[in-house]
Amino acid sequence: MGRGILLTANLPQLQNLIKRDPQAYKEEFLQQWNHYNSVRQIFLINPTEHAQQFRELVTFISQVCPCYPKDTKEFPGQISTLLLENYGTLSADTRKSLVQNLVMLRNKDVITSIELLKTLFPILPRTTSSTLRTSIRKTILSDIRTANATSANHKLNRAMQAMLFGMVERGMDGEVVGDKGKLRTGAGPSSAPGTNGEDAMWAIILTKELWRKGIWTDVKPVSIIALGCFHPVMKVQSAALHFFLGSDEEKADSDDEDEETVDVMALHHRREINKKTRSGDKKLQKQLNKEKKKMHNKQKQTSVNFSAIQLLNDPQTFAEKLYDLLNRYEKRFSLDHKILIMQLLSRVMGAHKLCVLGFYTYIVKYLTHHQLRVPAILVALAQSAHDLTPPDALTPVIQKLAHEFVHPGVSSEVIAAGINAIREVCRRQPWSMEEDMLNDLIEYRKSKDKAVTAAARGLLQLFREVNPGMLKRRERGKEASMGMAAGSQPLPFGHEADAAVDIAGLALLEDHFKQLREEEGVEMNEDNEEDWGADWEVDSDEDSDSDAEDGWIAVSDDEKDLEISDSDDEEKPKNDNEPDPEARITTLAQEKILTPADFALLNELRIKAATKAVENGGGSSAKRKLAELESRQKSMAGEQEDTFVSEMDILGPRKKAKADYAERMESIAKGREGREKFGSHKGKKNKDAPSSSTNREKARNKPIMMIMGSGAVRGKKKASLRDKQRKLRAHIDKAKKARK
Amino acid sequence: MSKLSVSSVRGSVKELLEVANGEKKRNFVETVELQIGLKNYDPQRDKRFSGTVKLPHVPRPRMSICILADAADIDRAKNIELEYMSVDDLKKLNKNKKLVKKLAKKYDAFLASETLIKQIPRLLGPGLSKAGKFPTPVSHAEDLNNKLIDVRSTIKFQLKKVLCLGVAVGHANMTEDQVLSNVMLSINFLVSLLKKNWQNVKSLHIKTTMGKPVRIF
Repeated sequence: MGRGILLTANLPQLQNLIKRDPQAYKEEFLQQWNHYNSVRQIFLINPTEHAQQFRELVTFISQVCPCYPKDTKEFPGQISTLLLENYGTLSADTRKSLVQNLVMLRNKDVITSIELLKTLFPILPRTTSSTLRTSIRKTILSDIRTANATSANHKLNRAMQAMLFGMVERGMDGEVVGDKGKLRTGAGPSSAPGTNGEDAMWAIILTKELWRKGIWTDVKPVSIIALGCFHPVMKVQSAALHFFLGSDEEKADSDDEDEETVDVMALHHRREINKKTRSGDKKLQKQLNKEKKKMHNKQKQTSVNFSAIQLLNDPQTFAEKLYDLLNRYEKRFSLDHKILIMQLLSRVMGAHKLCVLGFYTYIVKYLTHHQLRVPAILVALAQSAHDLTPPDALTPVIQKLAHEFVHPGVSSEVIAAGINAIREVCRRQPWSMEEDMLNDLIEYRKSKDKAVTAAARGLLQLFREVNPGMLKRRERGKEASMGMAAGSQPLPFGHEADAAVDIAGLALLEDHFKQLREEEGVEMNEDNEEDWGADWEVDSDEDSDSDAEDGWIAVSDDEKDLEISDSDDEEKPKNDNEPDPEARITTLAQEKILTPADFALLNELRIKAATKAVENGGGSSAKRKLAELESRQKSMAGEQEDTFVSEMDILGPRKKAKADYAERMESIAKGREGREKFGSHKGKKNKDAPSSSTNREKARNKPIMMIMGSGAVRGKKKASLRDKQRKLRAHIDKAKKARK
Repeated sequence: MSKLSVSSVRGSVKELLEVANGEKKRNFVETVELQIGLKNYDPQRDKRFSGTVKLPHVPRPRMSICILADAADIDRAKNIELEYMSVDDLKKLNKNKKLVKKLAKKYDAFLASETLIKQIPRLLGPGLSKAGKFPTPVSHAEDLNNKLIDVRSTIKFQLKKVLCLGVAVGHANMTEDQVLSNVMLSINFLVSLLKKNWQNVKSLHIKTTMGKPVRIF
């Protein structure tokens, strides 16, 4: 009897007993369960009453929940409805304990992660306590991460993505407030908390995080954030825009929780120093393996991930909507926000080759040299152009640029920026340039300013490549003039480079093979299948000349091949006279599968040919081609795709400005950092307590010329013989005494 | 699968064509398709590749083509019974998105007279490029018939959103040798586009429109 009373009062003890033997204590549990139900009813009516008791009961029941799954079937549902419906009225402690218990239920596998996340997502934006918020956020992320750890959990992902999409979509019909002038301060407090886009903000934050960690890599999260770009709340909009621009990617990597990387060297070192035991060896091996696995996983994770802009669904509509946003809320958005939108719009246009022609008329009004942040606007303009942009849309923009930026009335930085911007546009769409203007702009290469000269030269070089016909005769350069004489024409608008008929440089390979065949005789034709092995094993970057010689297999065994090789042999003398074997068409690619060794050989032959072209005075384009081929061979790792322009490209090299007073003082202060104070170190250096030098020290170091005239020294010379003897005697006695 | 030999490809092609022309003959001419899976390819870092190659034998002879023509080209188109649309026809579409979409759907590819090509974005809006069917320009000097063959026999390798791609390389009525040389050229060309050549190739399959895929690599 006494024990029963004890039990009702002492929940932890009962919990312990129940966990040991659920069936025996069922009675007691049911009693508590009924108690919980009645407390809950009261609690619902008056949340302040019995709050403490209610929390204890909830904790108790969620602890023992797995023991009585049938009786407590509706328990998780009750908690989540309580959280969702009465969240505002609950006290902070109650909220926290309810959330914790819900997470515990998930950990005990009583509820699924979908159920848990369905409760957590909606309360995340409504939480005011920052600790609770971070813990909820962490729970959500880790839950989704573990669910996707081995393979993508599509069911969960779909449910979550639908929910996030809904969270963003709910606020979409609001009125755009904007952030300019008065609106900047007025927006925050006046609007009701529900309409402030917190839901959408959190949805965007979580999606961004999941994307960044490589947990969600497909189209869905991108479409959630793409929707967020048009959200009426500015904060949401700018977060979504930043996501696509990738501007917050750099700093984000650092706060990953898997940063506790093991220092392998240190481990090995410790192994050498510590006691050598077998278990220690095992531990070391285990840690090393773990580390290796982690590295491997990390590599795999990053391998398949298209950039978010590439994954946009229906980019044309997206771009049009962005332009619409920009145009409609022209007056309400601040300049920074407008530039953000322009940047994204231009990147989408560039990446998907879209035409949003209104953008070019819109941007014209920002193209003045005194416009704030004009380099960023120029970057946006340059990025938006591509080879399918109609030249007649771009020409007025270029004219405006030239009139506004490139004239003697502005500073040289402005001129350089203008010419660089024009160059970047023309690199993408050469037909937007007019002949007269081009020749005027090129004259700036005689300017005294380095940046301007470099910019104008860049423009000249560009047109020598793409359309030398527009340049004056003497400015075309040797290479371009020769090309024009040979009849090469620039590609007209809308034309793509002609479809390749075979692989670049394949003729070189064919010639090489033929030469080899002639050297070795024609025996090795038919039985070639076993040679394939050697050929396929070859690593592509090793010196493959020898491999190709013994691993070389002739073409396949159909008669067509024989015909062709015959005809080739007949053609041979003609081929030798032919200047450019790259231009010839071969049928080699149709008859044999090129092996890795073949490709390596092909690359080498191309480099050889290019080197020869450079030696024969091929000019800068030949050199560039050679450099490209060589870099391709050396670093198989990729070079960044340079579709995006940076502001530095527009500004060009700038002369270092003279430092002002503040900068000078700063650099001086920096130089003093960690330096010892100047001055004498006499008497201060090797002492425990610093003090000045003693009289004795001073006397010892006194210059001799000052001492020679002093009475002490002169007196010694003038002393009588007797005195000298007495002194000597005294000295000897003293020395003898000291020796004893 | 570590290597690929001509004879094994030939075998697969033969098998494929036998099924397509024999036991499972369909009521239309099936297309032979090459499907490629890539690996070790990072679409963010590596340069996006795209390339067009002209195959030796026309893989899609029945591809429907329309020319957006100026006056001179209308006459030429009439001569060879090629479908055409004049500038007035295009203006009638009035940039109406649905009509442009319908037009884009109706044909597999478009040609356009060189004089017209610059106006296309203004006349039709983004509809055609959205469908990936921006017209190929044709000048008055070029022979239309040759241009048609060119367009029909050109295939484009382009990577979009996923790490696999497919191209039409032939049809069931071609001979085994023709299909084989088309397949080989496309494989070789594709591999030459990839940075690490064969190390980037995960799998190669060929299949007919309704047949089973056959793995060749």
